[in-house]
Amino acid sequence: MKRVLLIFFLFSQFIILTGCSQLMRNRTEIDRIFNTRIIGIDKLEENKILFTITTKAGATNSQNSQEGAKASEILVTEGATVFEASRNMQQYAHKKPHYGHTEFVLFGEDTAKEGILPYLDFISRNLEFRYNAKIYIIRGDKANSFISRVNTGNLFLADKLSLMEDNAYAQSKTSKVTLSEALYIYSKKNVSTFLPVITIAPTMVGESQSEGNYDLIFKDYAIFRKDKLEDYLGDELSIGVNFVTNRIQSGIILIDAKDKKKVSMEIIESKTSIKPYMDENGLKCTINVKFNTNVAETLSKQDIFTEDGFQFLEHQQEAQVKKEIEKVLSYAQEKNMDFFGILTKFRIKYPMMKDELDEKWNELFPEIKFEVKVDSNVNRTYLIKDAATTQ
Amino acid sequence: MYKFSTKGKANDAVFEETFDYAELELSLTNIKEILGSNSDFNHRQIFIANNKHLEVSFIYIDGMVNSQLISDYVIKPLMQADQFEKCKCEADVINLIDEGTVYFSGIKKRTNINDVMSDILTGSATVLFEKCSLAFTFETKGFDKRPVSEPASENVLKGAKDAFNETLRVNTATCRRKIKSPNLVIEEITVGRQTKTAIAVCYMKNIANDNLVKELKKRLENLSVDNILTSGYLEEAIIDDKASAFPQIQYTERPDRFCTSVLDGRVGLIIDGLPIAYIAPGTLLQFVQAPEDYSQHFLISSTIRYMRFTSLFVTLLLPSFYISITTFHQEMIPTELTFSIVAAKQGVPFPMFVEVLLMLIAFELLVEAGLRLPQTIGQTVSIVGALVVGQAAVEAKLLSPATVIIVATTAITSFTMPNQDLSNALRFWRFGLAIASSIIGMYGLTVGLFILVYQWCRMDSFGIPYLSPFIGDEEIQLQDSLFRLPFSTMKHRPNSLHAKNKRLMK
Repeated sequence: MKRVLLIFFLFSQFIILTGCSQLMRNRTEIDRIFNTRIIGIDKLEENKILFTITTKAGATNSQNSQEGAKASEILVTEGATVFEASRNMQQYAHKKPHYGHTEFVLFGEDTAKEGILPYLDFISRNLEFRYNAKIYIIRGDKANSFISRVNTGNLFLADKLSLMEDNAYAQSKTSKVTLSEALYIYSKKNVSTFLPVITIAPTMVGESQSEGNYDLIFKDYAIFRKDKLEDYLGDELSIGVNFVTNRIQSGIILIDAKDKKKVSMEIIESKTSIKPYMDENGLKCTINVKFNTNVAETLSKQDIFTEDGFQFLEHQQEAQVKKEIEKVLSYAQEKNMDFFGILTKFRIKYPMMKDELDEKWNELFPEIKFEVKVDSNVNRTYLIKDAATTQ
Repeated sequence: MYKFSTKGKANDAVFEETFDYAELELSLTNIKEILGSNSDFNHRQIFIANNKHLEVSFIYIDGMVNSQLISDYVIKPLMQADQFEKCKCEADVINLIDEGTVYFSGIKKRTNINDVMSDILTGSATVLFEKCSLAFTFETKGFDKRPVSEPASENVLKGAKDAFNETLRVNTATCRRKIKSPNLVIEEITVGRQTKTAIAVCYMKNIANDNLVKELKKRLENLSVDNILTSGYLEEAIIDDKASAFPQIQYTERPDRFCTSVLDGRVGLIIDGLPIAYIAPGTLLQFVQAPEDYSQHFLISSTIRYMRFTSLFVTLLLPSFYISITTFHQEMIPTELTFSIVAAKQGVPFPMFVEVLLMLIAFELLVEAGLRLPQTIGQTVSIVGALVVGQAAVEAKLLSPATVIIVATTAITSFTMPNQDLSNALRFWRFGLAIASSIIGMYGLTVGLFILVYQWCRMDSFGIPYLSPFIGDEEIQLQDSLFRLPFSTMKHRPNSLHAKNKRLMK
């Protein structure tokens, strides 16, 4: 009996001493919470925040799952801070917002220009958030407007975004940036970053626009000076960023054969290593890129599948990739924005100099001598030696 | 270290021995005094070699003796054998019987009324020589026995199909047939003041640890109960930790399993009147091992055993884990699954904990109903209970389908446990953990699990850690723990048993 009492006493102490009373207050039935899938944050003019959350309609109210009903449920509120806005939501929402299933955090363009770091503080402190949630910048629009306009079809917006971002690898013009990556970058001094961009465009039916319907375009990166949106990179520079930061999963390299006809190369594998070093002339950095391609399509009438032909193709694709990388490096140096994390590489290589590097990085980065080495290999021709155009 | 608690030892003043007639003289009058009022008590006077001066009493309990055996091998020789014709007095007859004139193997000479009573009550026929105060008892047991049949609760796929039955001698003979070694010792201890139940203690004298045998015998001898008609009396009396719901000695109805354990260095108990045998000591691992593990290829056995271990934790933790994540930690559930659970929960009036608790209780009731009813009706109850009522409850929005799936998975995994006692203990703890989870979620579950593991760690059975071989210095037996490695790697007996002969094979 003494032992039972002792165990009971210990058990009660576990609860009292560890602050479990708070945990007990958080007891909520799963059908009584608003399982947020997307968060949109916009800054309003009067120093207020427009906070938008959305979830699948069927998941919150069975009546909404009827045919023809809206696919989603959207809650919008305002507040001086994100936390206040979140709590204000409970004034009128029938369910308690829960952020454990937040997959996407969207920032409107105007908000991004003024800086997104203040809003990430709430997200990083709240224990419900998953750190693999993805961050996107809505180009030319507010996050609230984007959610309201696009979230109209039968397919819920979060499901659509999830499917689309899985397909976006094909061109390597964008990639996912998770909350943990963004928070890590923003915690560093003198580091810039890039975040993927979603652009909204009217759906085209034939040559005219379909009213009220919009397509989402997943491409391009927005670059940030500290936490403020500076510029959009465009297609070519975005591919360059992906090469430098080792984010290439697939992609197309369009090159000319010897007869100036187009050959499409499909990137099937790519690996990049950044090797920083310093000598008496200053900081230097070698970027080694090694990638493999397949011949996806050829319009050339020449036989390109010879030893010489392969060497020519490899040389062509290496030249193109090198050009893209050099272009984005020179753009970054020109803007003096290290969004590749080169500083981190130097800090790791020279830990004793990390404070000096941190302090003088803005002067050092534009002066770094980059050397780009590209090596490639053409793997497969899919057993078709002759191009269709030669027959 | 061997422990034996003397708590609960019977108070002799209260539980007076009711089977002691040592002070009475061995006479027909006294025997009739004791047993005479019973309708199955039989006695007759017979004359040795038809000599009217040599009258002896012949006593037996009707229904417990083989009449044919008595007539042909006891009464007939006593009345017709030529050797007895020369006898002048009872002493001459006694001498001749002593010399083997009556061809009977199971013959005992008794001078004490207690022994005679015991023999009569166990099915012996008694020839009483009143003048000499002496009796001969002939082992003529002839009551009906259940034939050796297939095990009812431990199914066999590849292996011996015989099972223990209620007759002690049949069971010990079955063991002897499997272990033809002079080192197999079968000692008998009588337990139960009223029932005088014989318990056979089986062990290999060249393998089993003497301390273990001694301790077990000591606990049996100290056992002070009225009867051993059900296994619980014995089990509860000889285990170490009586407060724990987990089994500490293993039962089996399979002689092959029993003999394997005896050969490992464990001690077996066969109880007269019970179709099961006990193996001591018992560890958690033993209750998860099944005899089929040793009949199949080691890769198959290992996979199945690992699955069984997984099932142990699934059946124990799944309901409480489900309550925790749906009530406290919704962020832990995959997003799509969350929405499926929420959709299924729409309109159900009960909190998740109540739903799970109701389902668990319903499941226990179904199991209990299935056990109590005849086998054919039992199946109908399962179908009506599980399918009809279950489906109706879901359709009536009393329960959500997700909860039904969770509890059904819990039930199915609990049925994979080879030992029913372990399964029952898991059922008990499952409720406790579910309640702890409903109060403070995963933290409650962790604390509950912590208490359970603490209990496992401090438990031992006859000095052997309950979690052996996972704790202690038992690396030798790890080849036969979570996985069952090839027999060629199992060259030693379990270290924790401290067997005299540790080597199992060269």
